Amino acid sequence: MVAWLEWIIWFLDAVWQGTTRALSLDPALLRFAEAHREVTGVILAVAVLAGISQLLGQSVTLFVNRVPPRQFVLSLLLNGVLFAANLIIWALTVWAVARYALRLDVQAGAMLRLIMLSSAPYVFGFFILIPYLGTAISKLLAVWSLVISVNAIMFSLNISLLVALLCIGLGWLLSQLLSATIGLPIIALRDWLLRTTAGGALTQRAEDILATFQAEASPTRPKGEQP
Amino acid sequence: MIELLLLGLLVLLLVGAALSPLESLSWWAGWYGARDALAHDHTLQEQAAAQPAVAPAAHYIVYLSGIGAISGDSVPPEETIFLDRLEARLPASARLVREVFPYSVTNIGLTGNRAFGTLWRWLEQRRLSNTNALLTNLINIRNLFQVAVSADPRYGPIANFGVAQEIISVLLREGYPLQSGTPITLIGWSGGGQISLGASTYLRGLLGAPIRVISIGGVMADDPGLLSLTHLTHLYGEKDPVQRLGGVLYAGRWPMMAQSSWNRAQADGRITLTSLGPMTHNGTRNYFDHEHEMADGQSYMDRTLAAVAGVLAEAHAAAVPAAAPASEGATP
Repeated sequence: MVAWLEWIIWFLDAVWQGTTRALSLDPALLRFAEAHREVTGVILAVAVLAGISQLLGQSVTLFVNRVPPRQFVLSLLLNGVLFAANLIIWALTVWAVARYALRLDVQAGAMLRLIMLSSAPYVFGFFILIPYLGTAISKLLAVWSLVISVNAIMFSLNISLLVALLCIGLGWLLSQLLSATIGLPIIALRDWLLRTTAGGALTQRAEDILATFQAEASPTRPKGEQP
Repeated sequence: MIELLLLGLLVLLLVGAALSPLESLSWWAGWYGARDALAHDHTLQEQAAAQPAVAPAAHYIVYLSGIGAISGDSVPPEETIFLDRLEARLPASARLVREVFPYSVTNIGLTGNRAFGTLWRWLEQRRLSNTNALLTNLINIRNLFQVAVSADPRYGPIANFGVAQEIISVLLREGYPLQSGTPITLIGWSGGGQISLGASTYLRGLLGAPIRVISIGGVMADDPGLLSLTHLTHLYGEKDPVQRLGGVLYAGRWPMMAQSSWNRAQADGRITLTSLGPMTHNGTRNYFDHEHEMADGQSYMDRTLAAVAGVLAEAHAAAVPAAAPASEGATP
């Protein structure tokens, strides 16, 4: 029992260290992540946590569509898994571009760990909830995440900023190509999972629901002065 | 050590801000069970019919307090004095409604049945014994976040709809006649200014009545509610930097954003900005200061009172063309 507790504390500490050191672009962390495949679990946990936190920050969509509490929690967990899966696919496309298009020497596992570290800023994604500032925070996290991934690729492949950006850009194009072709059934499965977990499609907007409600609740039409 | 404390306070502030929309959002999602946002299975007419008979007024005036409010009936003492004096100046056919707590979609004050009700009750006691107690600023911070929720396009429609529903419930209790087009004027002090604008969209939509807003030092965004208003009168103090924040923080109020709600309403002549003189937002010589006098011998509160009564008289004359001037009436 004590050993389990110790392991959990070690694991949480490792997740926290991984997150904060990734945020500061710590080269020692990148070296360690690249060389040690045993930290894959910790980095995966950072990515899942980031996915959960990101959706929490954008949870207005779930609330507007009146998702019940249980489905709400399940949706957050599912998003954590999907977010990590998305990063894995992206890492593999970047690796494929680096390996086969640019003829660079890199291990797929190392690339996976480094790219997944770029999810670290989204561990603080729940701050997107903050009224008014949240939208700016969302953009800041996206830029921060991109900077980490570019830095990780530059470090791992020992390449210039321009080539790293080319690598990421081509990787993104490849992932878009895959999404539009052989990835379609996977996307359909993802959407089905999200719909089923949330208990329905998340497509309604508060303004539309309110317009319908107002029309139903009040048969009166504006009278008196016109604005 | 001090750095750690400051960092801790900053984190607490950010977490508090992040949690602030959840009250409105979970209410909307129906997580409160019986207090479900859209659970009304009856129309407004049926709601009105369920109220005890109260003689209707010709003009309803709803007061929405500033961020210092704890509940609809617990506002800073100076505001109570102001409202008592305002009520005494209203004509008999107008009615002042002051039971709305504008910083909650359920109209449940902070000292009501809430998770942190004990904390707010304790703070209320502290404020009653010492109006300058530092910790009572927690009330201001909590309510300030709700103003930001109202102004945020992501949350505003939900939060503002909730407050509008609560205003309607109180109006119906006060005998508001549906389908009459009886005009409503919202008086919003400080953060209440933004809440007034936000609620206007839905008050207009549900009641079909002309809505006016009088902002007293209001901190307002370019809320879409401006397009539902008959008129907004913004009364401001020249030494009040807080009311200026709205014009700085919200890009839609910048003159360059010609198509924003604020600038369109201003172009239509539906916004009047009126200076009340050298008033501050807080502390002495604020809008409700009845102890200090201005250069002309009038107290700060009396200046504000005269300006509000003047705007209300105009609104009342439009509502009841044959009505007596506002200052000649008696308390209804």
